[in-house]
Amino acid sequence: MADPVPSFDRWLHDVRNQLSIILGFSEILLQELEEADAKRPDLQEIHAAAERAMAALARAPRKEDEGSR
Amino acid sequence: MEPRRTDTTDACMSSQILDRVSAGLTSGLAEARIANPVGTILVVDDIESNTRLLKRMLVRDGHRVIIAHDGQEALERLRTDHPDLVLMDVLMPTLGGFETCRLIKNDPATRLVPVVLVTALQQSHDRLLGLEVGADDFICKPVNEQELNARVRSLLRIKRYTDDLDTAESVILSLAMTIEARDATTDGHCQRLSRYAVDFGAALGLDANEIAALARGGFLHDLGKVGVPDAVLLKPARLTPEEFIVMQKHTVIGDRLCGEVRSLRRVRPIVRHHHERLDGTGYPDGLRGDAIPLLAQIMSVVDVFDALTTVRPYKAAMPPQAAYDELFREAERGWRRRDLVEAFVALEPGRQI
Repeated sequence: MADPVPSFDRWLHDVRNQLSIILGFSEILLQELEEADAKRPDLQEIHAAAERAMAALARAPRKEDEGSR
Repeated sequence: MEPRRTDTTDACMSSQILDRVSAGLTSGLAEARIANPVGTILVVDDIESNTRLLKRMLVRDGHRVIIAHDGQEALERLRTDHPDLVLMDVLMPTLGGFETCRLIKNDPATRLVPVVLVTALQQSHDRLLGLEVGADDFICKPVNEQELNARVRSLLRIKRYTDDLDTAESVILSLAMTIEARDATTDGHCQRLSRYAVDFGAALGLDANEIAALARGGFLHDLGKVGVPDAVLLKPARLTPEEFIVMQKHTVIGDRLCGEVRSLRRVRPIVRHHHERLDGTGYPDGLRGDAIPLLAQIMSVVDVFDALTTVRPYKAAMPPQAAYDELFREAERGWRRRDLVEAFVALEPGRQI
């Protein structure tokens, strides 16, 4: 059975999950790219934005627990 | 071997004996595998991008990666592919990470496989739940590549040790040492046997797995004597034919005791067949010729050699040369392979120590 998670936590989880994918792949690409590669600044923007979004999520106004835990 | 007479002895497990158990287990072969732990990792996540990301990170660190998309598939992969570690998402449809982890840890066949739960949830409640279901570690998304690989390596290192030091196996080894302690005349016999057999196997060009089986076989070959009554095992006189039949059962009992431990499967033929003779007059199965497993034939040669060259209450230690001659006589009688005896004697056992 799927583990029961309150809907707000579930939503938070799903967004963090997607941001993790952006962060993870951009980190791998940044490591593999030559230092002087012209694409590097663009990629750094993507990575930094994902990090800021992740930080914003951590500040998300938390709803009171929904009774199940 | 002939039934032997012995004095009774205090059969307590001394620390010396435990030292010998661990000495027998930590072979050089194991050290090499532990130093650089790469393994097969099962990545479980219902989101394809997540599995691709984790796979990318793990492959960069030298691991082989297999994928499952939910808990049910993960359990199937565990059975068929025997991964060294499971990296699993917590939230999955149908069978979730916690429940799957619980199932893995409740199954004796898989419970020693480390499970790392990966989650984008942040609550400590989930960590607690993860520990409750037996997870070995917990990683939060976004996954940091260095952290992931450090944790995976650390768990793989522990896994290598547990593979070698399987709980049940160490209990059985302790038992084998207890048998040795019960019989004072065989003091150090297991350790010497293990050493002789390993040298012998290496000289014959056997592979690492076979040599490891010989190392363990040296300690375990007489394990079944735990089921032989003291009145027979420690009898200070020749055994009657009836008593000898009871004594012979130690091969079958030992085989059965090893039966449940997967890591001992290569050792079982040694335990069962180290008293067989080429002409079929041995026991317990009266196997003939090549039907007797090679590792058991090897153990038989070193077992007899060690019995002959050590002191017993009723006899002096035979010099190595006399023991070599006796082994050759046994080959002429049709009990053992002459080429094996020749190869063993060529190592000049008993002379270098």
